[in-house]
Amino acid sequence: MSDRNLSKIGVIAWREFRHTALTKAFLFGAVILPIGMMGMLLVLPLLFASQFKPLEGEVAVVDSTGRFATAFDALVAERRDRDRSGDAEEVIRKLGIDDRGGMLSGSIAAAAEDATFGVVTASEFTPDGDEVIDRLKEEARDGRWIAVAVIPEQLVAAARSEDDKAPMIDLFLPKETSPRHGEEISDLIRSATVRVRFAAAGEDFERVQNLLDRPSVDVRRLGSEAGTESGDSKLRMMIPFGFMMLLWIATFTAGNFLLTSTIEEKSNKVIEVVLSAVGPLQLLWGKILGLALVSLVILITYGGLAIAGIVALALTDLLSVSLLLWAVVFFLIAYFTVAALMAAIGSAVNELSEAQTFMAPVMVILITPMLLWMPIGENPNGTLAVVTSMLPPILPFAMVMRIGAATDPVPVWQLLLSTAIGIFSVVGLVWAASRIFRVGILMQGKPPSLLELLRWIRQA
Amino acid sequence: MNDSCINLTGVAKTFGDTRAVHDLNLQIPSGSICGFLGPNGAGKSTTIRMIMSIIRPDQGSLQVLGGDALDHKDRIGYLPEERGVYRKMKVGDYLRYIGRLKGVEAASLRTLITDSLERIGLPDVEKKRCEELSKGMQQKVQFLAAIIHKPELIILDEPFSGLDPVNAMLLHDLIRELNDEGRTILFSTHVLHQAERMCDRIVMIDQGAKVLDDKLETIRKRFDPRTIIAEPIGDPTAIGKILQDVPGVDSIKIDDKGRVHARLRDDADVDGVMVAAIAGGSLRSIERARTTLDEVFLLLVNRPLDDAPPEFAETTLV
Repeated sequence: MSDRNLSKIGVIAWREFRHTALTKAFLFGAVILPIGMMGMLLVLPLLFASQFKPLEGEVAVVDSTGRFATAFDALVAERRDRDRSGDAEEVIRKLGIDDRGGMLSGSIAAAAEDATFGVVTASEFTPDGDEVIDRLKEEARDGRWIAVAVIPEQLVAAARSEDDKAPMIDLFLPKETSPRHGEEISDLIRSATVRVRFAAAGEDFERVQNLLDRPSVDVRRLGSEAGTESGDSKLRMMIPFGFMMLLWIATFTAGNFLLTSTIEEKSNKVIEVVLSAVGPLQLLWGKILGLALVSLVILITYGGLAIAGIVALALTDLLSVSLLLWAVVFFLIAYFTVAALMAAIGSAVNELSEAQTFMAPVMVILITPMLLWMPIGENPNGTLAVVTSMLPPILPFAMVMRIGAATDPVPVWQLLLSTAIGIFSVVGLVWAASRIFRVGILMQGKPPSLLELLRWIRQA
Repeated sequence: MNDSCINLTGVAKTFGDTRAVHDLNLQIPSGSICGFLGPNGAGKSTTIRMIMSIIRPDQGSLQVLGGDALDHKDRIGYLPEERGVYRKMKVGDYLRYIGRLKGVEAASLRTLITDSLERIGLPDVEKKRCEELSKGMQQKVQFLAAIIHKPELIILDEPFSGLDPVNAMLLHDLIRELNDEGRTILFSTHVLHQAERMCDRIVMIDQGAKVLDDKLETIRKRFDPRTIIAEPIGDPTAIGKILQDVPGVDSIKIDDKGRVHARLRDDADVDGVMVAAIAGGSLRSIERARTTLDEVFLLLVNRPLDDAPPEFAETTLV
């Protein structure tokens, strides 16, 4: 192909890119909106936390044992300590995030430090008929107490028969108490009641608690070589799904633009004007390459956000440069597969509604990888995974799931074979699409049947 | 320049069971304005699309500018019958895009576009979106897109359709200017009087086959009705009687407007008959009748053009 023809493909590609990606609608819909939504997801919890008022004040407890206030105060002190450090670390550990520097748990703890409990104490009152309770309730209304709890004697008795129907604690809250504070007070009262019960029975609560504490497990995945252990992660399952979704969004968004722009050129009747300047194959390649750039912008935007998230969570051992490079290879295969299909469909029909007939079978096939996320993620080197990653046109989607999910790397021969099959199928699809495009792009009237499309491929 | 710009030999094209064009031979001389005429569905657009290599002929050979049109796209300007614009694109961007595709250097396009828009009477539309323009304005922008690269061969498929008389006249002048610059012009139309005003050569096709291909002057000679029409101020029968006795006059008829039509034999002295008519009495007018293309078409295919408006006929044969 001469330089002049190549430069014409460049001109077409640039127009497609400019009029698709450099528009307010695209920037808003495909770039700003997702970034904004992701930002909101990060900002919302902070916003939420900023609205939290720590629980502060005094709880009036009507209790006959005389042990309640001590147990309550000890419990509050313990909860405050746990929230400062232990809780955040536990949450992060359970998520499988390797927070060795303690940066994440530290910042979560700092954010939580003042949020949950301020100074919360309990004052005890001996039960002396309803008058005490009425007086305390009145005082709570006036703001003296943040709650009034009435603990029935049977609940804290050392010995209780199983037949006893356990009475309930009466808890009175001022009407302005927030639901969260109500929950927290209720929880503190219930837990303190258990501690009082232990004390009444003469047992050491902390000793029993230590005995019942379930130890934590640090899971390490053994690599194929010594010293290549990696942390286990619940997020591991999300990586293949993320890879596949990223590929799907990037290729199908651009593919959809390709479909609509081809149909638009046909329905606007501008196609013949353009074809008087360039050949149909130049037009097809210009469109495919221009929208490949659009696809790349989407991939970089979303992928960049995902990688930034992974780096922020210190999960980088789940990614590697070779994995990302292979992902790019399969992105290209996926894009050209989808683009060839969309260009062929777009050129064969006159309106978007007519395209639905052809889109349905294409979507059914290409949506299959989504349904296979769980089995492939669970067993990335199993027969199902290997077969689907060699099967065009779904192979790029299946293979990125495999390389994302693999605890052991996918064998190189499989990657190479899949790439080779992918390239062959892309060449075949683009060839067939170009034959359909050549005939279909100038065709008006009734859209062709599948058989007619096959005839176009043979005859063009 | 006397060589052929377009050369078709035995070209045929069939769509399904429909024979759109068959055995078409055509030579368009360089530097000419050629009208490609025929009724709707005659095969004009199919032929033009084959000339442009947009569709391939089933049979025959086809040469444009000495080769395949695909190799000379930058030297050809084409305004298709089915034409449109990118609705959301600005007019300037659209013309720049087409210009770049036609191989015009980006640097020269800016002034070229501004000047050209001014020439077609649309100086303020460069920054407007195409969809903001009226249909007639869009037509002019499309015409400009077809010639923005100053091609040596310009093919216009029904260029006047949808234009009001003022814009049709503007387009007419532009096409003449382009031809005066030495560019070859082939344009199709089914409105024959338009072609008659502009063309120096006529190709007429019907049902996919060529029925006429000649210079306009030759066609006029060939289809000369050899009739003199005299409009007397007084009694037409008196003039009629005088003319009947003039040698070379075959027959006399008087139409309902009182005009005397004297049909002449092949050996008649036309000037002599006219002098005899003038000498026979006072006349409001006297003219030698000319056959219109509509009449030629009627004679050739023995049926009227589907869309030719009757008011275009200049003279009625009696």
